[in-house]
Amino acid sequence: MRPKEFDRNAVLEKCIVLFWKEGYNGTGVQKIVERTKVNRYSLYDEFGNKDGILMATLHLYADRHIPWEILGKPNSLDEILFEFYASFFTPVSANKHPVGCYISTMALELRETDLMQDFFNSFLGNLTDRFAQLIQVKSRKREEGNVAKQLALFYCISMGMYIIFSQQETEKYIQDNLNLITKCLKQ
Amino acid sequence: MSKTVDYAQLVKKAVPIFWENGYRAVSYKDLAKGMGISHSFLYNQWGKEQLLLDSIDSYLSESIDPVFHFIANSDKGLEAIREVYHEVANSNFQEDPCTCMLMNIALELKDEVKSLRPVYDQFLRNMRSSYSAALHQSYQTGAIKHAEKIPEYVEMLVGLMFGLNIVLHYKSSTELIDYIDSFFGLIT
Repeated sequence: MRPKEFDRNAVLEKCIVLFWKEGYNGTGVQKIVERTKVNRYSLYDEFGNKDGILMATLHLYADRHIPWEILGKPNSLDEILFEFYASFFTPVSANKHPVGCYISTMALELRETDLMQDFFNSFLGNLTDRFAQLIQVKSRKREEGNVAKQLALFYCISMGMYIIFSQQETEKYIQDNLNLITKCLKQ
Repeated sequence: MSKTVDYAQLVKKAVPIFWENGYRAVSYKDLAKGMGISHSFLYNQWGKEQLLLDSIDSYLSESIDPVFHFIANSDKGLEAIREVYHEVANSNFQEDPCTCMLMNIALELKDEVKSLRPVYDQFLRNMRSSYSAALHQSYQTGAIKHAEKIPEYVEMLVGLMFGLNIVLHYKSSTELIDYIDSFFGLIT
């Protein structure tokens, strides 16, 4: 096996910031070459093409930057959910990420493409499964999957909200409406 | 050929071009070609940012305001809103690409084009006031029990629309209608 001449994840992290801030369609391969200092041949050799780079960034983001660990905290269901959603609006400054979620931003920009279909659907499915598990652990009430589904949709809603509303407005919205969704688990 | 320029007609032609290409990626050349006018006229007399603002105005008054008007004046109250949301879930984007033009542009130009802010604020005011009118109508008929909760419900429905704009292209109509109905179930 030949040694990699570049750090794959470091390159992908730079691409995340690039695609997120300038749009996937707004970023040419030349720009990626300039920003990552990896030449075109090596990029293609590693990722196939620009779509390959995108897919790799999405997987990396889902693994590294979605705060899954929050869902495992010992706090109450409401606290955990609020912290999870709100975390997207208080990004870690070291990441140089804009506010929001990279995956849903790409899902919105590339909504007409087949490329995003499988990834985003499986991401939402994964989100739903994790919420279902969380509800099972935290609530004594039997959950038929509806609340978990609503929470996954609510994720999309929150990510849509911040595009137009301020961070404070979005947080207030999350707080108010999470209560409504989880209310049926407490009755 | 008449020399009088019909601005409204020209703007209508620009709307789908911005929707498909976004703001930054679209060139003066593409716009001028699609609108059937000269590049220099567009560049010197109009400008891309002004054309974008005009396009959004056109989009709002042609496609969005009639919907708010329908909701505010319907005697079906909340059910009128549900009807509109179902329609959005069933829409075919190949035929009507403008359903969420405002969202796309907002996503691309958030915090960048300051002149857009008042446009969004006006849009949100119209949305909220039409929803509020419909919910009060439903309170009159007894479909909603707590009048004091109406502002909260309005916010929830506004948010639901923004969320739909993201999932719309990924979920089937049936699934979306399911989601929508379960949200409406939280209100009634």
